[in-house]
Amino acid sequence: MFDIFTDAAKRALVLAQDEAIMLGHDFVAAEHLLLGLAGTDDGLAGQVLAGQGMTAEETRRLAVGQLTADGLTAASAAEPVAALATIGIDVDDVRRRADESFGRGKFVFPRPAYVSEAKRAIERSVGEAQALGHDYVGTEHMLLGLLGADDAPGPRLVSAAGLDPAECAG
Amino acid sequence: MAADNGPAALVGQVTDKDPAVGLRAVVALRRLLDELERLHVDSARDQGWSWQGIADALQVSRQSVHEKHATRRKAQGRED
Repeated sequence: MFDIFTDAAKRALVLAQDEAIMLGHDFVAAEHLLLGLAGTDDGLAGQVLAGQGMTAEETRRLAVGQLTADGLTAASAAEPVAALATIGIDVDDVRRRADESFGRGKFVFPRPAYVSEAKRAIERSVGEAQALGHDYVGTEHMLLGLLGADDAPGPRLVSAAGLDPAECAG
Repeated sequence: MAADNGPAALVGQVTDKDPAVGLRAVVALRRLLDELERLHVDSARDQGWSWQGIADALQVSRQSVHEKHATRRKAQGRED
């Protein structure tokens, strides 16, 4: 499916995961996807968001606020590590060995998993591209995909920023 | 502190009777397994291994290893 994503869209997806890791989150949610789009400034979505005052920094501030309000905190990434410690597996030791063999940062644990809402947003972005008759999925389609669900974090964040979803779509 | 990490203490933990503790460890272990598989599959592909060769080593079908890793690697631009 991802071979039809543009380079900028792929970078936004990678950035979404990097943002989750940096924030100590165990999951990739719609908020992280929006962060990925805001941080990809050569993509159309990043330009639209920045034009509405949603720079990467501002988006991060809103996203962290939203996730915290939803009860999801930075501690979540520590839980699987603690769970493995109960059966005698020292993740830091595994990480040290993996870094030695494959280079720093290749081993990511826990690697953030997409929550179903984020998966649906990505599926919708493919649908948005098809509906427009485009044979590629760009960051603009991803933004539309994020805005597509009512009461999803994407639109809620965008509304929190005082941004009109309809205007983004236009 | 060292005594707490000895084999006897570990066996005690592995056989922790609390299902919540044990099941959490199982889920975390599965994720660790996935991460290690990803690391070694990437390494094998970068060293020129065929999907069939990787599948044989992992004792799974070529189709299942390809489904799991080829799409992801394409998305990362690491596979034609």
